[in-house]
Amino acid sequence: MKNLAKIYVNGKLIGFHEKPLELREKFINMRRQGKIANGISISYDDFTNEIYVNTEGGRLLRPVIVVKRGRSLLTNELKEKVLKGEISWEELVKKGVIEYLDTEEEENALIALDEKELTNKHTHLEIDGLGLLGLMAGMIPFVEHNQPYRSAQGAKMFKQGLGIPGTNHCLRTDTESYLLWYPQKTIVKTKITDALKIDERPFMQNFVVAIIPYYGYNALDALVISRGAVQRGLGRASYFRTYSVGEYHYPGGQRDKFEIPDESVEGYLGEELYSKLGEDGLAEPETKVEEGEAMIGRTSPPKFIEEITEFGVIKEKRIDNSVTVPKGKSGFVDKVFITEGPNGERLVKVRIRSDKIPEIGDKFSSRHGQKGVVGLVVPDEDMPFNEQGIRPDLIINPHAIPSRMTLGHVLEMLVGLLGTEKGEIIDGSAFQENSYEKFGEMIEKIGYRKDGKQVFYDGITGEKFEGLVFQGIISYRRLYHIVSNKLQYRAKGPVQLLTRQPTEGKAKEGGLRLGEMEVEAFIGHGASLLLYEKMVEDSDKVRLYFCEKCGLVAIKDRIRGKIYCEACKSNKVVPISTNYSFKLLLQVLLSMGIYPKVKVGEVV
Amino acid sequence: MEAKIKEIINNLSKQFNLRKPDREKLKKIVLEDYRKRFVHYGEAVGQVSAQSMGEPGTQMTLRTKHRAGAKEFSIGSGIQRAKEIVDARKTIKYPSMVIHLKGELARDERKARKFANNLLEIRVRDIANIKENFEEKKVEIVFSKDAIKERWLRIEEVIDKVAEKIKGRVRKNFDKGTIRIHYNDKFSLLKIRKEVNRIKNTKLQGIKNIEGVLVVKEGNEYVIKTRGTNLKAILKLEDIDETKTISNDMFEIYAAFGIEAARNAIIKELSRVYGEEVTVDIRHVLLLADTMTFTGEIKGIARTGINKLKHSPLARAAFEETIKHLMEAAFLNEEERIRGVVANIIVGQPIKIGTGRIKLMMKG
Repeated sequence: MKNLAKIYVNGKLIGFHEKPLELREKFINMRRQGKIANGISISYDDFTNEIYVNTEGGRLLRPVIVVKRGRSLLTNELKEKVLKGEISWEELVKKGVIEYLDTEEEENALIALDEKELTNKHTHLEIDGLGLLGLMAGMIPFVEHNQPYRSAQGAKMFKQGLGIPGTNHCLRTDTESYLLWYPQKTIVKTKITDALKIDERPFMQNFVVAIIPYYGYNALDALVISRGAVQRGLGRASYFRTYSVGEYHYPGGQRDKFEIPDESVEGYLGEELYSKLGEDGLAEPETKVEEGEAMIGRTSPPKFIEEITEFGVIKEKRIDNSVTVPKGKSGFVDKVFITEGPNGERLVKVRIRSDKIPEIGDKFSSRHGQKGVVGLVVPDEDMPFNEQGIRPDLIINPHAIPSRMTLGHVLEMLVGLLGTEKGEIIDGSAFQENSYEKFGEMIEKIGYRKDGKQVFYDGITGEKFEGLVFQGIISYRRLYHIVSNKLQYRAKGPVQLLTRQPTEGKAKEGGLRLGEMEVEAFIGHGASLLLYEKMVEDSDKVRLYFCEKCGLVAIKDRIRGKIYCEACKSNKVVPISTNYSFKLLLQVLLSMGIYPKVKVGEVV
Repeated sequence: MEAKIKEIINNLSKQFNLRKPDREKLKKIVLEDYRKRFVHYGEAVGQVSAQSMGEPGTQMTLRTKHRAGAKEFSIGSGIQRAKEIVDARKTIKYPSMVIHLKGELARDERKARKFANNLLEIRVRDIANIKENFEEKKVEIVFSKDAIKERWLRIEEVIDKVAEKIKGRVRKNFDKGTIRIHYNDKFSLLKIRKEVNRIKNTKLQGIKNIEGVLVVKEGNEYVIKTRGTNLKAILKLEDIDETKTISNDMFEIYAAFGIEAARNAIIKELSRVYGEEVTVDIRHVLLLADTMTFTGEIKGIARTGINKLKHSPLARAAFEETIKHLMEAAFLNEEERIRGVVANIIVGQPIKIGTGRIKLMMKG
């Protein structure tokens, strides 16, 4: 038993075998002959002497060319047939020329990257070096020149890039979506972008990028962007937000109604705020709606049915239930959709569009994980320029390159420049031979230096820079982290019902919390009156009256203009300004059965 | 203090031939600088101390340093040790002593080493394996020769010593290093097991809790460093220099020398722990040590320690076990004077610290 190899199928022990390697060999041969499905894999672990057969779905499989005795089974003869289209992929798989490996079986395989390096030890040959990469990493040109983690970061950011969200984006009613105005084909493509047909629905733009510091405004991964370029439409996007609301039905046959509320409606906002509504109570397309203005006018039936008086039915007082534009979400009414809801009620969706022009605080990134936030928008004439008078759209800091080792970024800039000069789109797929020398020589032929560095002039003084500047063309994408959607501030605003303290969070227009450690810092600095202001004045300050006799909170009856203690009916009270949460504490203590007797007096 | 500073400056100016205006200028600068370092009225010294020691604490490594191969025992370092001290934990992770020796012992390494080895606590269970045979009522003690050799003992002596304390028929075997015991019928099985446990715990030599000893040259004398501490027992020994011998367990120091010594031990140990990696002003350490010891016994900065001492029920409730403290305060009819920081924040009044401590009044 000891020498027998254990055999697991999908993790379950099903038996033992004397010669595991022979079993594996036989199994693989049968699979290549088509007797076993090509999705089933077998692998042998010689350390534990176990064989694993996996058939389950969800495993990652990738195709490789089978190698026998150091020779690729995809012979020249077959290659020609493939080129002519005489043989299909499926047939190659069926013939056993191409095989799918999963992660475990890959451990047993020795895969050559190139046909030239094949030896007798190799079991497989890579169809192309790109096969190592996933779809996202495969879209990055010259990935093999990058530090792997940077490429992974770059791949992660593909999903954050703005572009065209769908072919039906004109009719979509997503709560939030973005649309990039002038997406461009990338000048440096890869085989994967071709396969994915990225050029037909692009999401990037080709920026002229220079790598120089700009008066500290691009330090620490900040970007300096040209106002001229922005005004010409660089990185410009639209932001759509859809508000959807229905004419809901209530028990008792009452229902909401889309209309322009009149003055008699409870919670009437004022004539001005309803001015953008059309006759049907909905905002007209292409009108501009500002913060607080109604875009859907809607009234709801009253919460309580009014009593019927002797003179007949009083006209029911309806409640305003209009949808207004939230803080910071003003824009143009893009489209108004009227449909039917699940219960047969009228459903209205209003889509607001606003332009998101790149500004300080917006995020951009290249495909190599080189992301940055705009630190300054510079007038076009202040941008540095080269001998041809070309000014960069974007300036990144030289410090962004060495420690991150994203040479793919640098190479893409150079090749982008080459492509623009030649007027063609260049293949930048991974694992090309001698890319530096190849592209360097090509750019030299056009008249640039081999390393792509250029003479530059200061845009402000007009003086020539002492050193040379590297400028190239590289595709950048705008990421959906846009400041104007994140900006939040509060001077006064909503408070919580229970504690009367300011609300928390952007959605509720909340304040920023003065946390425990901040309080401790105030105390440490002796800034006790500042602390008092933040904890009481700016928060839940309240004027309370305490009974002199029993020390409980007294009641202020505004209607009768009397202040008295409910517990002992005395009207000898002392006013104290404190915070509302203290009143809550006293009440909590009372509910615990503890009598907190407040004595008021000067304690020195 | 200011007079002393002036005196020093006067002496210095004589030494460097400073003229009078320069001397006065220097005095002014130095005194100004000196006065800046005063603690001002209303300053929250406790809070500043806590922050000044807590913030560097976050920078200190969580890793305990073990210098491999170095001739010393770990005495604990970093944030764990600092926490042990501040919490006034009774059992510490790396108890240790530095024993200074008197006279000839301090100069002669061999004698010191011999003395040190005698301190090491050795029990039978450390060096022997005991096999019980309940059917025949036989017990066999098998001594490990290696373990005995490691501890600089002689196997014959050990066997004789153990055999003395055994009730029952004993057969010694020096070559094999075993003792065989045969119990008669008077011994029940339970009693045999009890006997075996008694033998296992039999002390052969040494002082309780001393698990390891090392002789190290410090300056020009030999000192003994130990793993495990028992200050009281060590101090009773004759050849010890009781003026220098020290433990890192502050509770042992407290028991042996009293609260002032414990306070000094806290200061010394905290300064050492912090001094290894960061700089903390000694005044913060002093304040902490005073807070921990001013009651006459060591109180940790914890709910069982100084939190119990606070007069203000709200301040106590704000720390831990809120409901328990509120209920207790109500039960004892306690009064909250609203003087502390926490109490004033709770009731929404300015705290009596810094700017809140002073008031301006109009004249007239």
